[in-house]
Amino acid sequence: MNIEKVLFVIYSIENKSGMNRFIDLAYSLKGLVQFDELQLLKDEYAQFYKNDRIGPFDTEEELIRFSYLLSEKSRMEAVCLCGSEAINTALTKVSKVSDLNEALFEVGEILENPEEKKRGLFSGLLN
Amino acid sequence: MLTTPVIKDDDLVFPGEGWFLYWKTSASLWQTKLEELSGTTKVIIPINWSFHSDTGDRFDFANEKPETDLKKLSEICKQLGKEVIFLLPVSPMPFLPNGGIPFILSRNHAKNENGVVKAYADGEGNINQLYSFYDPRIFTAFTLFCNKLAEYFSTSGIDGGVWATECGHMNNGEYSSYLEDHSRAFDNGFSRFVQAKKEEGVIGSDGIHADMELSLKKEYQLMIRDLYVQGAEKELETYWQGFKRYGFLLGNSNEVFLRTIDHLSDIEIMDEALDLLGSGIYPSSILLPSRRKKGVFKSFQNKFLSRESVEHFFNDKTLTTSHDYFFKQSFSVKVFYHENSQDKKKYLEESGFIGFCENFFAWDHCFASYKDFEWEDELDSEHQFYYFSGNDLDMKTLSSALRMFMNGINIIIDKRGMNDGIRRRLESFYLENELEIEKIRYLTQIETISMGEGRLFIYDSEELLNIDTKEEKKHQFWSKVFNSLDFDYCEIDAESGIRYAWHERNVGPSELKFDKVRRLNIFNPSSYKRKIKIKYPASLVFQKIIDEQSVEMSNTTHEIELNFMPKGSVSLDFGVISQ
Repeated sequence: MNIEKVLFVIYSIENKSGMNRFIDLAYSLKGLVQFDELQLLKDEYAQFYKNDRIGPFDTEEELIRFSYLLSEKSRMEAVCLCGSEAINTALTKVSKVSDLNEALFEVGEILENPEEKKRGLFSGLLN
Repeated sequence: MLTTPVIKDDDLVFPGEGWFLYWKTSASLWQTKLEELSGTTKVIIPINWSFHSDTGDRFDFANEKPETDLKKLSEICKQLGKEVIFLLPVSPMPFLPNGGIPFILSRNHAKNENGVVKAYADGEGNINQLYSFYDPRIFTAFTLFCNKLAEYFSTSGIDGGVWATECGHMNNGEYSSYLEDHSRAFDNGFSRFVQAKKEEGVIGSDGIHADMELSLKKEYQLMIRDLYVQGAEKELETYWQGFKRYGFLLGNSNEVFLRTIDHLSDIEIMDEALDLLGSGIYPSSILLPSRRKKGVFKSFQNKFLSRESVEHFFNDKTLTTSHDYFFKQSFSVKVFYHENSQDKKKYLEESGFIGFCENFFAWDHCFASYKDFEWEDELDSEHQFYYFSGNDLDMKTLSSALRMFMNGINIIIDKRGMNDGIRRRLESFYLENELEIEKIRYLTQIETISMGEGRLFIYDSEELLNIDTKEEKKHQFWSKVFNSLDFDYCEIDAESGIRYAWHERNVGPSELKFDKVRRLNIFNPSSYKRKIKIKYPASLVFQKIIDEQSVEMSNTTHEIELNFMPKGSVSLDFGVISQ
């Protein structure tokens, strides 16, 4: 997987609200996903958007499903899920911000979006 | 075109706001560099603990590295006629490796509430990890450092003043200290703190609930901060000046990720700076990459983080008369609150007053802690209204507020949460002074009293909560209140993305027809064309437009319209006619 086709999803697990997961940031090398401009957070997922973050997600599966949705909206083929453990490893590994995404890409959980994969296959057949 | 001179100091050694980073350049270049620092009598020197000690128990003060020679540095400043202000950090500093603590002590990472290591990107793109100040070894080493620093100051004859400095950043409109920590070191100390509270009988056998835990954690954090401050004060007594807080722009922990994709917003930077200034905390732009300190931010920095404002921040009570003619930031409304309380702004928000101020007095209202409240200091201030929550008032603060009113100042008091003793004191104040109270019933019971130029406006926000929770209704209430208080104000209609704030100064001998001069500084940090309309009252006389950058102005009687191009800025001066 190419780092340029990945959406980095920075999430946190909040102990005080019963181990709920929240997406704090989502970005690709092309730029930040502006949560306040996302139509889906104004419509069907409006209740998930509060205080500049998205959540709560009760399970990892829900978090992944929503991350896929974000990757589709930003036309990315995969997500790189980064929780506290991955972030801490990356932050202690590098000394420059310019190297941080490479480190996150190495230690984060890369999940290819099955829908994007299918779409990629069909677009290949059509070309 | 009239322009304000721009100070060039956005490099490694002078990262802005008058700071001089002595370890970033050779000691042989200090003199040349400092000669370049024009327009200020003060040089702010943050003391870099880790630069003077790698181990925490061995120190270098002009022994090995020539750049540790603080005596030479202060001598050079003295020769150049500049006063040295040493900042001694009592919290991690985000622009220093390891947050500024000696390398060998960097063992326990400071963490945020989600267990993520606290790390920040500095202006050059280096990632600095912070370490927990709750580690007892760090505290012990810190006091030893202060002791050795004092010894060095004394033996070498340094006469600069030392300010203890807490560093933090804005987080959702609130100041958050870098001392805030959720590491194991914090938890260990906090457990001991809770145990001690239990033994004292402060905590009952039923344990602590979530809200109480938050409040206790805050209390513990402040207690540890005070221990650092007191430890430093004790050692550096002769040089002690006091305590100051700095807020670092783009100092939030998420910023480290945003920096990887160069996502830096001028609006966010400006909002953080304005929020900090409105909370009496001085912003530092040291974490911003130098390429971001250009354009509209430079104009903003030149106005709000100017040399004069640094002088004012560090010497506000003993300024020379020449400072009277400098523009200083002004706020029409000052709101007092208890900064250490968990729900510090709850009553203020529920009364609708904060929401109203954000619209009506946008960037023209400020917050202040009761901790620094001295009513005599307020007598010469520029604020037009002071707001006190009854819930926060004790006998001393109520008496101070009433004294201010007796001295011609406008005071607003919310009775909600006021205890019986304070209520009785307020009533006896009416009787003792035979005051004529005008009682009005509008959504809630209102009492107003006039004395000379001062107005005392007392109401109970409890009733506003009961009547209607809609913000619109509360906004209407406050609009009527301010109309009834005969407040002369500028009606400002700005498109989204525009930011503006006021300055004011005393008048010079050639301007005696005015009481003072007010300056409205307007910026368009957005990437779009934006418009603003200003209707100003008859008591203001438009004097001049200065520092125009990408803006067009049209002016009719008592109305100004400005059309900004992206990143434009301008300042407008108004003379305030004597009443």
